[in-house]
Amino acid sequence: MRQRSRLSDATWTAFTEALRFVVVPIVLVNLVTNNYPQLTTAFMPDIKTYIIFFGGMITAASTLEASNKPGTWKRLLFGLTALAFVCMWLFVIFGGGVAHFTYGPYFVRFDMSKIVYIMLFGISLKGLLVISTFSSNKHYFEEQERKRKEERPARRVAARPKPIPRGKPSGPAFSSMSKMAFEVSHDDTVGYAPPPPPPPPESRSVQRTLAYKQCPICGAKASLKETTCKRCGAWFSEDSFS
Amino acid sequence: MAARTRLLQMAIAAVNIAIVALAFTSIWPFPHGDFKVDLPSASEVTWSYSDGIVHVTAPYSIDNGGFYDVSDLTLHYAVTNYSGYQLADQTIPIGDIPAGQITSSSIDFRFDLLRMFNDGALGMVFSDDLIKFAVDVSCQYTMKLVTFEASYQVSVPWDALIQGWGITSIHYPSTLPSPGNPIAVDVTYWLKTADILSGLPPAQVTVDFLGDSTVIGHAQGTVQLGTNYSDTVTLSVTPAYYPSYFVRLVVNIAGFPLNETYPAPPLPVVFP
Repeated sequence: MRQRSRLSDATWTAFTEALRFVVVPIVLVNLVTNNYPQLTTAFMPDIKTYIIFFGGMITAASTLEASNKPGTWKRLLFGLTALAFVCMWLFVIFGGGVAHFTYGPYFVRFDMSKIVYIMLFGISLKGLLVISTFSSNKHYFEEQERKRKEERPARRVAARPKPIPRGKPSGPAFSSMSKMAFEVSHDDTVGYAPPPPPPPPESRSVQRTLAYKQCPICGAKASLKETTCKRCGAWFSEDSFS
Repeated sequence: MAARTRLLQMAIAAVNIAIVALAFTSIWPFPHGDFKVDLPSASEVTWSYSDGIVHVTAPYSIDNGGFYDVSDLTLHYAVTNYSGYQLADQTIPIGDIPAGQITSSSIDFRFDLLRMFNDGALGMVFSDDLIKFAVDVSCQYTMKLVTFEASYQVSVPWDALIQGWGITSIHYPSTLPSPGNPIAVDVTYWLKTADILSGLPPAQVTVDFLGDSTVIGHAQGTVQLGTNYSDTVTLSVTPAYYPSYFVRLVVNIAGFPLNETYPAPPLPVVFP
């Protein structure tokens, strides 16, 4: 869901930035050059090429910025890059702030370069916003990453088959003393009971997915790593250890 | 954290809005015509002449209808003739014009045409010329953040002060006087001078009749300046034989002397 949101953000940014920094300026420049051919600036002869180049770079950088999550270094880098290109774009559009106008015997030179520099300063203030967004989201992003890293092994552990918990002996038990299965009846009948019947053979697929071994004494299932049966306490053979 | 970002966003937006407003109010008056510089056109230049000095005035006005005061307004002009001879060069520091005010004045300069004439620059006296005005206006706007410079070049035709002169006819009487008596010779001359001289008093013209280089007849008249003037003077010439005869026209127009000699036909008399 989040991935799709980033993609739509990037697409929308590409569209709007291309419109704002390439299409509309070219239309406006066409209007100005057609209606006021006497107006010249330093970049006027190749102004459309400059607009396409810098506008394209702004669009690309902004799109890449939008496609990265807030708080990432990539987003910060592309955000600042887009801002730098916006400054260059503005400088070119305004011809460095110096415009010439020739009309009949009149020649007018209009130098507003200082105002253009102030405008560039105003635009570059947006860099603070990019940095602020980065710094405020960075901790959150890093925390999320850390949590994800922490959750990954826990999830792996959770995916493993849970060992059967050993019943807590309430008092002294013979199980800890004898390797053989025995059964103590409630009456005076004492003797060894025959071993329980082996469990029904399970399907291969189950054996493949659930790696376990059976206690040869009580038939209880145990992890491959177990050395003793948790139910009866019998030792597993050495070759059964994984 | 979000509140801090929001606050920063608002501050940046406020600064940018202020900058856009500053830029707009700085630029808008110029294309919209609220800030106007009216420099003199060729038809507005007025000339006058007195005692060899040409006095030129050309009005200009600067209308500051913008939002900010205009400061360091300076007007510089240089005037040269077609051959590049500098007639005037001056810088007028006008100073500041508060917003909404108009400053009107005029470019006013004089040049000594007589001195030029005496220095050998005869062009503007005897032939038409083209006076080039180069006017530069520069000022600062929007708290000196914007520099505005306007240059203007206009060529104003200059009519020669003395555009032409000559003798139309030398007329001898059909009835000859008795031998030994002077003969009345009618000499018709013309003189075309520039309009600029129209206010000056008429110039004295002297017409001499020469036998070789000896003056044998003499008359005086006046020439009205500033027009194409023509007149006839009658000379009383004492008949005497010379190999050749001439009529000499001498006139002083506003300090510029003219001395021209024209051949005259032989006197139609029988010399003893």
